[in-house]
Amino acid sequence: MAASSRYPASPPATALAALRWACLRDLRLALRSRGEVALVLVFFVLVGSMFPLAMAPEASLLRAIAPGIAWVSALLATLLSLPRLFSADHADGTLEQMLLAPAPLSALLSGKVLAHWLTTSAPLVLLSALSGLQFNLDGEGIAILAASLLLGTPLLTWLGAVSAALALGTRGGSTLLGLLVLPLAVPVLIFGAGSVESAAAGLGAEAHLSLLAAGSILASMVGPATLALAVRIAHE
Amino acid sequence: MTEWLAMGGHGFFIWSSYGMFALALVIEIVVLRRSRRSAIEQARAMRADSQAS
Amino acid sequence: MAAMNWFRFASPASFYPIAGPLTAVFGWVAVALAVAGLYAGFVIAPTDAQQGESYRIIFIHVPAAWMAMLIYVVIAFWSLFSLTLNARLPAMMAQALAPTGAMFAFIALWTGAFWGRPTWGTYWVWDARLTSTLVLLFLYLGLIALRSAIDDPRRADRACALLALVGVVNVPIIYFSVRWWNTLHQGATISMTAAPKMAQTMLTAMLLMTFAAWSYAIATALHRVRTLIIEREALSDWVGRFIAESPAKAANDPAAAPRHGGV
Repeated sequence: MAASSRYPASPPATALAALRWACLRDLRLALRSRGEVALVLVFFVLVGSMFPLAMAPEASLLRAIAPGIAWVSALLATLLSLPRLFSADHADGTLEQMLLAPAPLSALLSGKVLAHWLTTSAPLVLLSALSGLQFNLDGEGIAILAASLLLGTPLLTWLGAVSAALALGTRGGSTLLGLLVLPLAVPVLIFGAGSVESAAAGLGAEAHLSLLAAGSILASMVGPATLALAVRIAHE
Repeated sequence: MTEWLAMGGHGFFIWSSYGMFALALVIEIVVLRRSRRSAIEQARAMRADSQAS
Repeated sequence: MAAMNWFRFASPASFYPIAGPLTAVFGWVAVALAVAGLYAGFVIAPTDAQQGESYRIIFIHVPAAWMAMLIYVVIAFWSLFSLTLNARLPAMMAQALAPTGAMFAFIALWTGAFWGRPTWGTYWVWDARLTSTLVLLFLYLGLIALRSAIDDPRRADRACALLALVGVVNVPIIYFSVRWWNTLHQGATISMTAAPKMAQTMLTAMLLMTFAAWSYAIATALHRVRTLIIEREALSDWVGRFIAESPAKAANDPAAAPRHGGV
């Protein structure tokens, strides 16, 4: 990996600095492969657009199914992007170096996960507005959809990261990853899509959004250690 | 006897359920025994090889 | 003190000889309980006033659903052991239980569908328990798929163990979220938990079948573990003694002779 003169080629030893190093590194790498990143976002819009084509694009029907479709599309797009999290580093041995580095592995991996969320999920939050318009969601609906994605995607990313680590270097590829992630993602899907429906029904979305937020916070606390263990297991 | 089999008109559902259950059990047990047999044969072959070499 | 004795069986070599007879014991217990349960369920238990004869499907459906859940928890339990103690036998138990658990989940879904049709008119109902069982089936398939995708058995052990632990934490969350989603959308008129008011005989039959299923699961798991042990420990001395073709051959089998660097 080409090292810029501005920061060190190997990770610094303290947790926060290591996190920052890993995150910035992955962000730079993502910048270099902008096409790959954009592809995921295009896929999101593409999948969402398939549904109205497959049924009568009647306005009230679309509005009713919009949250579900947006969330399933986000789920699939996240799934598609997951291999990118570890494949390059696994292939060129960087992941092994991270295992051996003095920097805490969980901090390094957290940096990678953060960078992944920033490049994959955060744009999805913004793109969901586009989906909302496609499906005739009103302003409040779009806002709640975006909020649910913002609060739910961290949890999704952690679940996906652990699954991607466990499936590292196996024959299964993305389909195996799908089988691992989708069942675990069911609660996120239910509360994410449910938040918009609940708001549309006049019941308010606070409960759903709080649950999503709590899940993401919990995942961010337990995730780093779990992911570190998964990566260690993958390298035995 | 046929009356009992008909199960008050629900025979199809009841026997489909029990039938699938029985089928699943049979398949599982057959696969179990086959894999044990092939594991033993493979182990014997491996041991014979390792002695021959 | 009893704990110290149990650890004697923690190595595959000492576990293998007792697992064989145990398999037979649990197998026959399962058969006996199932015969008793089916007799109670079909001969003794009366016809239900509302559901007629079709309710008798619950004698498979409910035990299968319970076992699917229970087995997953047991797999998680063994997975925790295998990860923390870095031991092989708990990992093999977890691997051995998964196919039977998946089978029970599938049967729970199948019988649920065939119970739902005469009772509520449709083959599939998105009620909380059936939907959770569907997700549970996918979790099992994920475990099995991950196992077959990884070549190295020890690495597969640990990867599947972690996956099982992540899964078991999620199962109550999944169930809670599905149940919540279900009550919101269904109005709770259709529910698989609305089994007929249980006459004592019906309850007895169901319990007998549940214990039969449990005994069966133990028997199949033990049998699979023995096969796994043979597969993994094929070249060690003690295996040679057990799989020799005849006692005479075992005596002559050079591979069974004491050797350095065995287990």
